[in-house]
Amino acid sequence: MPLRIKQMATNALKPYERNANVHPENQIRQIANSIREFGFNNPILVDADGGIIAGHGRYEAALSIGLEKVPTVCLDHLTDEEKRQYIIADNKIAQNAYWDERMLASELQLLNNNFDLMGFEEGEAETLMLENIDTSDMPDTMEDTIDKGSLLQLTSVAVGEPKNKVFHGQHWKLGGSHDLLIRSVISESQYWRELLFDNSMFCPYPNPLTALSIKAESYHLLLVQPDTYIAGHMLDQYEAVKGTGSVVLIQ
Amino acid sequence: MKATAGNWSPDEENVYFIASSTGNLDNDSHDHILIAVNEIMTEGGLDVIKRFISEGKSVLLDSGIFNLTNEHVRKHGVTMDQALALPPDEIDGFDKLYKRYREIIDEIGDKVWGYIELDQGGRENKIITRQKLERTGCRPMPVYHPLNDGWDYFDYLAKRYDRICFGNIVQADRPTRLRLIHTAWERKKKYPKLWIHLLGMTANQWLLALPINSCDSSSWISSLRWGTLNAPAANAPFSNMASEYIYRRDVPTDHPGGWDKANALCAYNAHFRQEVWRSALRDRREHL
Repeated sequence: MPLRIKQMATNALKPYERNANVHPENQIRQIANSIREFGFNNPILVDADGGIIAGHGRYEAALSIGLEKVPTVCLDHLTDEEKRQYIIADNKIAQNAYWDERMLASELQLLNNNFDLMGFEEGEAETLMLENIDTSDMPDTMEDTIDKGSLLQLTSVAVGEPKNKVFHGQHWKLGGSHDLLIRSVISESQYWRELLFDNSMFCPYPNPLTALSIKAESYHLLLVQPDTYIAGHMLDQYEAVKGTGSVVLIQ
Repeated sequence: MKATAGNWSPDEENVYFIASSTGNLDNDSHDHILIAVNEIMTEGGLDVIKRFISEGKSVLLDSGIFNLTNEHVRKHGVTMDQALALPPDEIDGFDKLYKRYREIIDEIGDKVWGYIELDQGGRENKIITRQKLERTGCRPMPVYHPLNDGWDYFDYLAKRYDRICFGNIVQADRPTRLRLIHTAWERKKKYPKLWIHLLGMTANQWLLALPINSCDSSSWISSLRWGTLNAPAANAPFSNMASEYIYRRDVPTDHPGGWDKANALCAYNAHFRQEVWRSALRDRREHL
């Protein structure tokens, strides 16, 4: 039986209420970005009543970016039991593939951009490439921009005893927004858990650069580091880049 | 129990070695480095290593077999597994590498943290080469290849040596790699004094849960290669640094925003991977 693509209104589609495949918010965002960039190229599979059989993530992504219509393919030849089996099979069988990581890394090396659009978390693609590519053959892909090196100049790279002396139990504020607690991650959550807000990112065992990263510009970071040497360096590094007075002891 | 050579201490906390060429390793920001013999084929290269040692760096000497087999793969169009399985006398350049390896060990073998065996040709050939080295006073760290050797060979080595290396896991996909490290960690419980070094493995978030003794990788130098520098949390990728932290190529290398500073910042970032690893493990030991 030939399959035909039909545009359907998103409000006519019905998600399967017993769908066991969960789409995290971040994945929905990635799918939405992919649709925006590449188009809606993978139709949602539905039954004769508009019930979604496969494509719940794409459906949610379409809603998130306000699409009123989406491409669908109607599978009206399946029985109810076959539909339920296929809803699982469509996801489960896909999971049984695996990546040829060397090939993937090689492809990413050639593309070297838009890793987020391809579904990678920040740093994930770079790590994959570094672990799988013989760097002796690597082309120089970096492009200079006018601002390169301006903050690198300010960083501290000394690894001796830190200038800022910190002690267990202290609470520091970085840049007026981020919280650094010199506490155990494992057994002292009573001292820091109330510092987690809607816009917070929890950073257990951060390194000295964590509070200067790109995410630190848009999120409140809750940094919990029990080691005084690392924490001292985190304060030194922050002050080196942001200036004297940018770190303050709260208690 | 055979003691492998070197000035290491079994009481040392977990160690992350940064691997690269002598030029990339020439900074003051991390003091555990791995260098392969093929990087120091000249006396000038060896002099740099001697300087590193005099500056207090802990040097792990790799045999250079990985580079040798890679060259063989390129020249003859065989797979890496096929090249690794070849007996030493069938792979191009083995004799030259062996000779240089011996020369270097004779000079600095007792001053380095350790040196890794010439792991060419599968378990039988590895045993033959190692015994040949041991007869002449060398005490290299044996390499176990989990994808090729069989777990009985792990036990064979674990019963006989104080330190072993886990080799070639970088060839495996990520789930397999993780499974192999899990298995190594479980097996290590039978040999509590055994030191295991993971070859080609970054001190990442996996090793917070599976704290194998030491590891090395060349991925620490990412901003120089890729123009991206990631700041981790709990040694997992957390967020990239802005482009202002990446070096300028239109200035001399010793410019404050140039290559040398970027190299040092990479090593600094790697140093704190090691420290975070140790910090997390101490926190777990003390509070769980």
